Amino acid sequence: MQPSEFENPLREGLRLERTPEPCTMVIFGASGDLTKRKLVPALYSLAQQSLLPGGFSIVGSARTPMSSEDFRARMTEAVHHFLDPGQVDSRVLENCAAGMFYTPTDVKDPDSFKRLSELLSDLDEQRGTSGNRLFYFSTPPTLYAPLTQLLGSVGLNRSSGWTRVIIEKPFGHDLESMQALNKQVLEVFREEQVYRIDHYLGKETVQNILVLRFANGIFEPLWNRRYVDHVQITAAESLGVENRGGYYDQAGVLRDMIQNHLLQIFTLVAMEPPVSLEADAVRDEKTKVMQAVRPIESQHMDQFAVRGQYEAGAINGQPVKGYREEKNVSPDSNTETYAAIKLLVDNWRWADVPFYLRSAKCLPKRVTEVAVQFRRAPHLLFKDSEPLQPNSLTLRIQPDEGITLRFGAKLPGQAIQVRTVNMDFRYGTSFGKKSPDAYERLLLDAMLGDSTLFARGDMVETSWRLLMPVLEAWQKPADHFPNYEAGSWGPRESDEFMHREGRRWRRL
Amino acid sequence: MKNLPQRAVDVSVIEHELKELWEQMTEVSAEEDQQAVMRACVANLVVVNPAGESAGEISPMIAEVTHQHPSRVILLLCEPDSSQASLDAMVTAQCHPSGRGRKQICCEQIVIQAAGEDISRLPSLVRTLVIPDLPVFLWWRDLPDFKSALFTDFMQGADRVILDSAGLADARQGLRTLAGLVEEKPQKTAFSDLNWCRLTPWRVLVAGFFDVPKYRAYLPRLNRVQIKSVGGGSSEPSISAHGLLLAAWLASRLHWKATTKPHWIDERTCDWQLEAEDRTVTIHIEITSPEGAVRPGLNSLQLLVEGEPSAQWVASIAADGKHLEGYVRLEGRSEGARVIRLDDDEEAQLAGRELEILGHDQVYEQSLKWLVSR
Ligand SMILES: NC(=O)c1ccc[n+]([C@@H]2O[C@H](COP(=O)([O-])OP(=O)(O)OC[C@H]3O[C@@H](n4cnc5c(N)ncnc54)[C@H](OP(=O)(O)O)[C@@H]3O)[C@@H](O)[C@H]2O)c1
Repeated sequence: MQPSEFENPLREGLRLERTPEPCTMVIFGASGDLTKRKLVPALYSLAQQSLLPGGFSIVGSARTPMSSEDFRARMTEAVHHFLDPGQVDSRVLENCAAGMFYTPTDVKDPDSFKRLSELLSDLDEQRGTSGNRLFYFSTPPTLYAPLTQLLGSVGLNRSSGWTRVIIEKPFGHDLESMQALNKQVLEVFREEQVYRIDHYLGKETVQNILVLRFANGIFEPLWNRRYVDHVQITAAESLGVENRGGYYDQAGVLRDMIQNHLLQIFTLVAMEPPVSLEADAVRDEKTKVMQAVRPIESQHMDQFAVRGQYEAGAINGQPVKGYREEKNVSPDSNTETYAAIKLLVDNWRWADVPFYLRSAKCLPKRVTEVAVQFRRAPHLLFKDSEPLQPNSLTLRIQPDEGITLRFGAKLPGQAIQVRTVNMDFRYGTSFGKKSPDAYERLLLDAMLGDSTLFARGDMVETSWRLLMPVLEAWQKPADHFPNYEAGSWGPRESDEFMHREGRRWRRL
Repeated sequence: MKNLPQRAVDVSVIEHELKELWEQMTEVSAEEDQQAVMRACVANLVVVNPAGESAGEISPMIAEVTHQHPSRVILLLCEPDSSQASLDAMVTAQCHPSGRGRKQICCEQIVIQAAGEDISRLPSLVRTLVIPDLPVFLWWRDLPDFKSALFTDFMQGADRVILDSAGLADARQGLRTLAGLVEEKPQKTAFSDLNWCRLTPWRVLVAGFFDVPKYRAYLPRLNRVQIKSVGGGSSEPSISAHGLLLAAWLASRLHWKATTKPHWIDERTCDWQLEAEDRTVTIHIEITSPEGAVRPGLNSLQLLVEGEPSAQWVASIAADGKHLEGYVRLEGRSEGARVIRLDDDEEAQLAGRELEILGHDQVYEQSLKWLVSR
């Protein structure tokens, strides 16, 4: 679907040309953590930049009984708490809060959804939102299906304007549950109404992968098996599971990070150039490359995947508990906190070029990056030099967002001494402007009807299908757990795995 | 901001001095055990300072602009009235901590002082000093003589000219000359007017009203516009440039035509009758006294539908002078309140925003053209 357009002659030429039509955003789970920490602060920031349309309204909903006044007070406090003081203008916030409403709903009480429907009709009338609605599911995932059904049963899946629904991660727990959820959602909404959010895609640096590849003529010719030896995509976290032990112990890093964020980044790196930047053109290419990934065979699992779990150690000089000692984690837990997998893409561009994806908790530092490692120069002329590192291009996603190109250069002097140098481009040291929060971009896109940065059902399904053999194999008890110390770079098995591949993990 | 020692240099060796400057910066950062100084550059920014203002006075403003848009700055200080011709240049670097750690964003700045006849050498000199193949922004802080050879010469080397029509003595005549330039140069040079940028929050607020379809339905019946702005105290009654630009914006967007000149009722009020498809639209402009005004320039704007059912959209500066507030009155009821924070009207912030765009601002150019089309 195309981003919605509407005719307001006075909007023309305003540099904020991407302004959505007046609409109401309904947040289910409005008493929860995500709403106060991310969603409402992001909406406030958009309001402050005058990026929201006239009449824009927010309706919060959860089981907790609360008046609209209470909700406004809570959200006002949250904005003050989660944004820097300098970022908050109380007059703008007050005006923004005047457009907030609350009505309790409970999936066990269908009447509560009728009341929601009435409130929305009133708002359409009072605030001119014309039936344009964006529902946001920020509840426990078990509620996604019942919420969808209830919205359908009171007719809120369609209106005189547009209706869209944003669904938080995780979208399913495995292939079967994903398919079941997708089926239930699509019984009520059409695919183009469904926005499966992956906040990684809202990060500027992730979007910059597309810009780097397709706005520059010099990289794309090298972006293939002739020049690329392999690609490493890493998302390292230095934190443990914190207070999310209960959730994490059911999920593990493969579900929490790799199935969504890392595979999304992988598709951006590996996809073919889309014919346009329209949502489906981009998402078709992403899905295609995902479909080209060679299925991982269960009998050769150790050639494709390595898992690990951290034991007590130290990070930044601070002692850290082992995973099995964390709150709400089973003392004999089998859940992986480290995962590395190899993907082989069976197409002309990438045949025989492995993509290594790794993510883990309790590593020495927090880094997310994509490193494209090029082949060595075919013939080494400079024999007297130290062995040269191959060229690489690194896209740093967080922190210290930037791009580094590694190449060999002559050391000044009479002899030919070649050294590897890094040529660095850092956003932070090049531009003084801060990047917007990922949720700001994604919420605005959803209001505009631009789903480019959201995951489409077929892609989510393909990603689960790809990982199922690994998830099944990892059901088996891991007798070797825990196998890496918190604060180390992961289990020995992982280094050995790369060694067998004739490569090594980048030191980060 | 940290400035390295400034060095007066011969113009022909500026590039060499720049190279030395960066080497020196690298040494400083190595000594202080900092990460390498990084240099990114997205544009050339040529700043023409008003006569009599020193480099020191404008430096903080330039620093603010280059913090957002790392550029090579070429600052021109001219003394046209000097009887002695002279040309001097020096290079300096401006560094800002980048926020995280001790890394720095650094931009190079070439300051050229020219006096008397040597001023005419500046355009060709600037052409040799700009970084090749990067856009050239020409920020003319004083209002140029649009017809002068110097301005034309500079303009030809620029991708975008940034001016401020607020300083125009005769706003109508000045904007018409500007419109002529825009017409003449349809392809290459684009124009930015800081005075137009000051209207942006007003335009955003007003446009926001009409996002709502039920209000939009009233647009074809709009028949009165009331603009109140703080007057500059000139002896002749005249509409300020921002008042003209605002009227021209509304008229060009909503396809109103001016068939007559503004009619002055008294020294402070004028009515301008415009023709819409099936009705007359009156633009009523009131110039208020600067005394007691919380902010200079535009103070309030009202759009009205007179007759039944009536409607009114009101935008005005809030009492704190820091916000723009708006509401709608429909059939006697107030609704649709909106608030927009006004940035400090500082030149640097406005200019910084203009560096974000490269192409032509079509709506601005169409508004200018509307002013001459009658
Ligand atoms: N927090 C994050 O940073 C983050 C990041 C990525 C994804 N997510 C996802 O976002 C979703 C929300 O996360 P969260 O951290 O905000 O969770 P949370 O703090 O536990 O909030 C859950 C919300 O759901 C409501 N809820 C629970 N049971 C309900 C029921 N039976 N009927 C109606 N509402 C019910 C709760 O309100 P009441 O108890 O008042 O009903 C609460 O508002 C989760 O799916 C999570 O996986 C969160």
